[in-house]
Amino acid sequence: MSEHIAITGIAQSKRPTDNKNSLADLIFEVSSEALADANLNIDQLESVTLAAHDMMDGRAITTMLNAAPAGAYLKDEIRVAEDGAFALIMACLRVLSGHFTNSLVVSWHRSSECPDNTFHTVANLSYDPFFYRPFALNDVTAHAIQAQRYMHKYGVSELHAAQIVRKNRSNGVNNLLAHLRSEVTAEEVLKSGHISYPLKALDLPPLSDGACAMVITSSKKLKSSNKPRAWIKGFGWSNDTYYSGDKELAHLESLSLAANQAYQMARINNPFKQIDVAEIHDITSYHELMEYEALNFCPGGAAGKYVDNGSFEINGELPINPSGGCLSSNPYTATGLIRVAEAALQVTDRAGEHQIAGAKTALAHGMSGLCAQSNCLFILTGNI
Amino acid sequence: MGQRVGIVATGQTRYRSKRKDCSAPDMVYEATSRALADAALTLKDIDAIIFGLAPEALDGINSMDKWCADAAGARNKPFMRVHTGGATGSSVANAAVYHVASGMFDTVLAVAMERVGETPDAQTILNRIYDPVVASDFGLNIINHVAMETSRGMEAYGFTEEHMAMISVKNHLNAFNNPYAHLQINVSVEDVLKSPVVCWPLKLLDCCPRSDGACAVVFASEKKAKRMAPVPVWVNGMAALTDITVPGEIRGGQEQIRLTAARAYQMAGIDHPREQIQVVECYAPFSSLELMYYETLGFCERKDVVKLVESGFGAMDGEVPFVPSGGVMCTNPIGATALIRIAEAAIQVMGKGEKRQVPDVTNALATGYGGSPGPGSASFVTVMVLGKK
Repeated sequence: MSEHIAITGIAQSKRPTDNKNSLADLIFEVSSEALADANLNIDQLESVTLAAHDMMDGRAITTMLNAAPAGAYLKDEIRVAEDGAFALIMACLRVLSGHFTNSLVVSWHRSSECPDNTFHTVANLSYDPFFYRPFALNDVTAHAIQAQRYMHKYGVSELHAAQIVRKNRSNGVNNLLAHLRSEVTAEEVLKSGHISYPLKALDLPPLSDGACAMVITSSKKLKSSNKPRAWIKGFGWSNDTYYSGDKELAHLESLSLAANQAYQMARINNPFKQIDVAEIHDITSYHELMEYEALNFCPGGAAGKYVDNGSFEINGELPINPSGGCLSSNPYTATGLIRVAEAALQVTDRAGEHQIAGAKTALAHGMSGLCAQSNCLFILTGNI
Repeated sequence: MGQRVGIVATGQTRYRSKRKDCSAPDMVYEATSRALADAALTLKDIDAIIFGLAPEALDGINSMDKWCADAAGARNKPFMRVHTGGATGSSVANAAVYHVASGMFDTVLAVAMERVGETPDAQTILNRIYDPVVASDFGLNIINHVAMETSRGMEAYGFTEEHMAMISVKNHLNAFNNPYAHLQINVSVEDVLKSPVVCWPLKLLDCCPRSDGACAVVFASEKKAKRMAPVPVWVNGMAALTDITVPGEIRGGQEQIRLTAARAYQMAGIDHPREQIQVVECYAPFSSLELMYYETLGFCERKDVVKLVESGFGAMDGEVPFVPSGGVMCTNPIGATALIRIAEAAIQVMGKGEKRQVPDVTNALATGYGGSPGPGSASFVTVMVLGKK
């Protein structure tokens, strides 16, 4: 990179979100807090980069209502209709292009506005009307097929996946902002009832209300400060085919490609050793296992063995999702940006009760689309 | 700024009310492959793809960008979707510029589309862009909002329904020269004035159609652009601004357009647009909006707008032709529309406009407009200055 980018402000919505407040209130809260955290006046803010999904928000152009609370008045604002971490990619490109020296990145989702099952109905509407939609595929059933393919290919068991849920839910207890803050045992996961084989109720994330905001600033514009900062050392993103029948579902190809790009930029050649903590998109417990392999934390098919060894536990060699991950909080679109926020908190020693001692390099992962079609990745460090 | 960025190729589909002959990905493929062919490129030359799609409620498929990704050549490549309502297409172009100027990519494909033909009534969906509490219940939509903006404009600028009709006649005439244009119909001032009132003062022939279609534009770094295109088109100025209206407030977008244009002009070193810019592709889905651009883009003062319309200032043989393509009034696939403005402006600089070519174009202007300054709402404006140098 021609210049360095620092994450100078971070804010996440409080738990529980107050139902008396509107979605706009939720967005205003995190946006103003992130600016305050960055010690940035709204007049000094040069650009706003948003991520939101119309159909999930129940608006035809959601930013027409929600750009205002995100501070976009008379700003150069752009929105991606992807996971929140993709907005951070766009914001980084905006800064690297030289057009801006800072950006406020905001993403949100208010699941409580969706009546029961609406979320899954909308997910079904993501499928084309000819070949896939008539099979009643949605986020759960499509991910179940993917999980099953992965189990079949590598002999990973339902217990391995249940261990991921146990780990993340146990981690979530220490995150004051997490939606679900109660432990579950692997046995409880196994007995939680199949939603779509092999996915059981507790293998799936909750649907949460929440928002996340972040301020990034170019090193060119950064004033000296004693405040610890997270630096973006590398990022990458890629997209796989939409046609899930045309790809090897057990391999998250676009995540591998995104990782290659980010690792190369950040000069990471042994991620398992060089990364101290990772916040990844555990959209199901099985996806977390597949992601270990795509991120090259372990060889293909070896995720189960690493889980058995406890490598990714909070006190393991590479703690994964100390915040509790998506399995503890899932405000859909904002989820990926929260991963980055949590990784940034870790490398600046601001993660509080779920801080990993001495974390210097962190990885954060965002995901868009079904069956892990699009993925993006960030490598953060505590100093340049 | 970072690296200099050029446009090297464009590709468009034929636009129609409903493309019954193909699916959404087919349209994306059609535009993408035409853009690649325009500069004799292959997918191997493309490093990243940005996709534009406005409200997918119009298309009936959630996150339809994911379905169209393969057709845009985005398998195993960096890809993301941008959505800023009607400004989507130009926001996609801005995003493509950021991708290249960042130094991370040499060649980036921007492709945007919409299948408005899938929706029984676009205005029902466009009612849902407004605040569900303070605006939607009043039946506000784009047409009746622009009608209010227009009657306010008639008061402020002094133009009449006849002046609007003159703009409509000019644009429908221009569309005959554009092989891609959706509406290619003969229209007289009398036809416009006698066409059914949709919402006063807007008559049917003052309004855009709803179209199916896609548009693709290839952006490249300076070094690559010079190799790829005989006449690369340089992005010399660009700006985007979001404006917010508070609940209870309704207004037009003119002040916002003026501010955005001023920023883009400053970047491009344009201080006398009327002398320095030879052609304008403005985002005007209604006749009344186009004539107000004459002022807001700095081609004249407010008091002179009517005089310019009457003298044929924006006609093909006028001083500065406005929308030689026929413009949004003749073709409006919402998510693609603002990218079509940029593609058409680039075509003019490249000299590839054939029957719609304006002579000696060195600078061309393209604008985008999304959202709506209705109550408790946001609107998005973009302005891009393209040049031969």
